[in-house]
Amino acid sequence: MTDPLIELRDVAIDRGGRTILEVPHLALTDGTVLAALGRNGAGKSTLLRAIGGLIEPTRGTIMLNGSPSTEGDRRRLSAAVLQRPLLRRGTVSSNIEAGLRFRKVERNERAKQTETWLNRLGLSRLASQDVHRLSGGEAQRLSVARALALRPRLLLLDEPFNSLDSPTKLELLADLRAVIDKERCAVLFVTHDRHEASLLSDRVAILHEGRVLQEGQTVDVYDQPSDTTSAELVGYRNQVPADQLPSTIPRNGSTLLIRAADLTVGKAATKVWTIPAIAVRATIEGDAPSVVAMVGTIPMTARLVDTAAPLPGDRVELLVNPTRARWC
Amino acid sequence: MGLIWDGFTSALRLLWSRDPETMEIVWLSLRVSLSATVIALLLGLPIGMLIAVGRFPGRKLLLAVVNTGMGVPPVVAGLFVTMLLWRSGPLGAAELLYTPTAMIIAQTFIATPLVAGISTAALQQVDPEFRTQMLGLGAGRFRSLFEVAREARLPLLAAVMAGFGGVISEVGAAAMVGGNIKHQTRVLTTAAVQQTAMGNFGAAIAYGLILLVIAFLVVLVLTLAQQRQSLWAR
Repeated sequence: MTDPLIELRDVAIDRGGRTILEVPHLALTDGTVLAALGRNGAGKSTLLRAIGGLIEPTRGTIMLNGSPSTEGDRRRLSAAVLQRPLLRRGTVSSNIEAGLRFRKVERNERAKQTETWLNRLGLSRLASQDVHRLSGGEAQRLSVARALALRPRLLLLDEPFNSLDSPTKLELLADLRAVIDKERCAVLFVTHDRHEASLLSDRVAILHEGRVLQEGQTVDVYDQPSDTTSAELVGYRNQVPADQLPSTIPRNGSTLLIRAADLTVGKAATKVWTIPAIAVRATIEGDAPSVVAMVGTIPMTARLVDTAAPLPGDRVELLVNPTRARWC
Repeated sequence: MGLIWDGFTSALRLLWSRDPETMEIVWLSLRVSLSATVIALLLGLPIGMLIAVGRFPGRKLLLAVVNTGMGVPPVVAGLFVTMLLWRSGPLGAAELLYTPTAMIIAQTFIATPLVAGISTAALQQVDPEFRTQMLGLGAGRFRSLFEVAREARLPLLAAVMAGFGGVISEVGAAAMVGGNIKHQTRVLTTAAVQQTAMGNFGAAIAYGLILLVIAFLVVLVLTLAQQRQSLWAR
């Protein structure tokens, strides 16, 4: 078996006298997009910077192709895109060229690569435009193109789509996934957005308070989170402790997890579990009319199916498709 | 009124005739002040970078020292350098007192805190993440610092101008360490003071006018740079 491109072994980073990141083991392999998913302050950016050689771990080793590596080793093979598009003063093409110049790419090759990446990221018409005149989406697109032009073996993306509107973000994500598939580079993608993570990643690592709670194939982690924090991060908004559920529901763990889309009020198409609740208010979840209802002290969000919104205080029955429910 | 008019006409005559002594004073002034400014830039810019980008114990203390240095009166700098170069002083053996070198040293003491202080403020305007981003694109440590300075090049230009403006116009230190010796250490400011004291207003006004022209050129260069920058940023 070949060594992973990057492997973290007992890595810890301390700041201000406390440990802000502690990762016993994490690996990144060529051609794989790993999403680090977590809330603000979970240690995602710290992880990215340690892997990219932008900060040195306080303890532990970061292996590169099976051998211990220095910050410089990792900087040489990676390219990072940070949260804000931090562009150099100058034109769009001079920004792409700058990274190539840092890597001492010869002048003719620089010009060729710059043109190629301007084309591939749809920036050709803006080549000679000053970066101050770019829109947010264009600036972020340039920021990504600048990193990709270096043909890195490891691409590091630190929430680069935060400030973009949804259509721009989706378009850029689709373009980026196509380029990554072609380049076959390893990617670490830091995000707090489960939709972005699911669109771009093959694997996902859930980070919380500096620790990796769960790591695995994205589809597996999204389908079966290991704990309530991971569950919340991958979209299981409805979480009910077993002791607050009616006795008719068979237990298979301490907490029942249900996505808002899988909890309904109204008609049930299949055999369902029912949970009695008190309606609090009508709402919109995603694009669907929904209701917020209390199960004991737990607020739950359920979609309305072929029924009018209940009034606040009404008794409602929340319907759960057992095949869509998960336990942890 | 006649006194001022006479002064102006004799100043213009002096300048028009390219009086050798006046030219000598002008060139020495430029040589001393430009040398001091270049040395101050070489010292002050790294200090500014260290304070702006570095994280180390005593950083704030260093910034306080630099900021205090920006307000040190030239005569105090002159006094310090005079004592340093005095025959029985620590560097007395070098016999530099009353030479242009001594004037350059004194003016460097005046200009360095100005350059360092303004550089610090200029470099701190650059997003701290910018350097990390440059490192993340493969820039080496030194190159990443250069990139930060490149982003702040206009305010850094202002730091250079402030340093040059501070030394070309000062008289106290130049007189103390240079001694205003004819053909050796006489510069525009010390010459203007001397001529005024002697009642030779024509020569004094000529020197004053040249100082004004130099100051104007300094501002002109800065303004042109600013305009170029704003055109470029459009």
